Amino acid sequence: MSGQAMKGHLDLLLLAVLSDGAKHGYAVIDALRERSAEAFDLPEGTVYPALHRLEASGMLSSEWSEVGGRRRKTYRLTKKGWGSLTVERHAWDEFSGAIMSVLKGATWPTTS
Amino acid sequence: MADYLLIDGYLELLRSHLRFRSDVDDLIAEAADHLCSTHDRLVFRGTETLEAERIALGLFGQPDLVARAMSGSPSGGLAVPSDSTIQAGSLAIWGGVLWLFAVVAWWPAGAIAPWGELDRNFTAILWIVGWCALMGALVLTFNTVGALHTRHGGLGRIGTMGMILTGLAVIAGMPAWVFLGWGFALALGLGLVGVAAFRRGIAPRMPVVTLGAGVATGGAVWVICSRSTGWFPRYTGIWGETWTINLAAVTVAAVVVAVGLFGVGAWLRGEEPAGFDLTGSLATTIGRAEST
Repeated sequence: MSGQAMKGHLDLLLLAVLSDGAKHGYAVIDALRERSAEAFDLPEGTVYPALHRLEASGMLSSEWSEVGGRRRKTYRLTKKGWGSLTVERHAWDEFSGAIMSVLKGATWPTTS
Repeated sequence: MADYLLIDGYLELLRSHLRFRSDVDDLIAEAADHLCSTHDRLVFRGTETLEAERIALGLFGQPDLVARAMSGSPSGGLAVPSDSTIQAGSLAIWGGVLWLFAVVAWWPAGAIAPWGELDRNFTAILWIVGWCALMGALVLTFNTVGALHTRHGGLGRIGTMGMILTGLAVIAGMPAWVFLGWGFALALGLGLVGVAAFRRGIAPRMPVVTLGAGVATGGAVWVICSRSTGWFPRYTGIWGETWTINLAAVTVAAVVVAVGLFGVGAWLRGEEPAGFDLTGSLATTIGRAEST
């Protein structure tokens, strides 16, 4: 899936991945890739700004640690983040349900 | 990171794109951790190390693309040199001179006058001159702390606390005999600013350390000498028995702080003001900062 298609959903996906527990950036992106069966195709470096934005808006908190001589930043969901995830997940369920309802009733165009 | 040839080069390029962000070190540290984690995982699976670096960088994205994306995320502030920080650099050097001048003025009065070998009026003049120099030095030290804060785009919570403490200590230092804790507040304030600036890693670290630790070093000298059993000379007349200890501590503090001010001042003064190149990530960042 292209980055453009993911635009607008990335925040929800990141919050969902972090609902399992605290993760550092690499683990977040890795989980995102695994859970989507490698369907999400984004330059990994561009995911970090979304994490930073979520952190700045209070959805995530972070802490630094040192692992193997490298500084590592670990993110976790805040109470506000949990609330937002619940709301956004509900909104997505409604939206995708409505889309599916429409698509199920539609006649698919033939390609030949 | 000596083991990552391509990744190091990439991170340097990314740093140059993001150099005007106050959180550049954190951004680079996070990118480095990600790239090295990808690399290490690939090598563990049998990929050759240079190829693993190439793959890691390919997955991460082009440095200009990543920098552009990162420029859009919130930062603490712009960490840019400006005309005011450059001027503050010159003033910091003058601050260092005044610290030394205060000590030079006090030494004859402090070391000789208690034993009555200097004219009383001359001693009084030396005291007043030294005190005025010290007050000027304190004000210029606070100005330098402010310039460090500005140049780093903010020094975070610890640095801000340090700035406030330093400011209070400077104000309290004027009538020091009323507020006895001013020296301690100054040591703590400068120490906190030093820690914050050191962690940000934009200013050269050695002068930051000396500026931050100077007054505390003087305090340590005072404690060590006051606990000495005979090896440090003491004066026992009307000037108080800790007089020689005070003089030694102030001298050490003044010299170390002055060295720090000279270093920080030379660095600030030697920079080019930002604004000469408003392209790329800087323009994006400034545009964002101005729109908020």
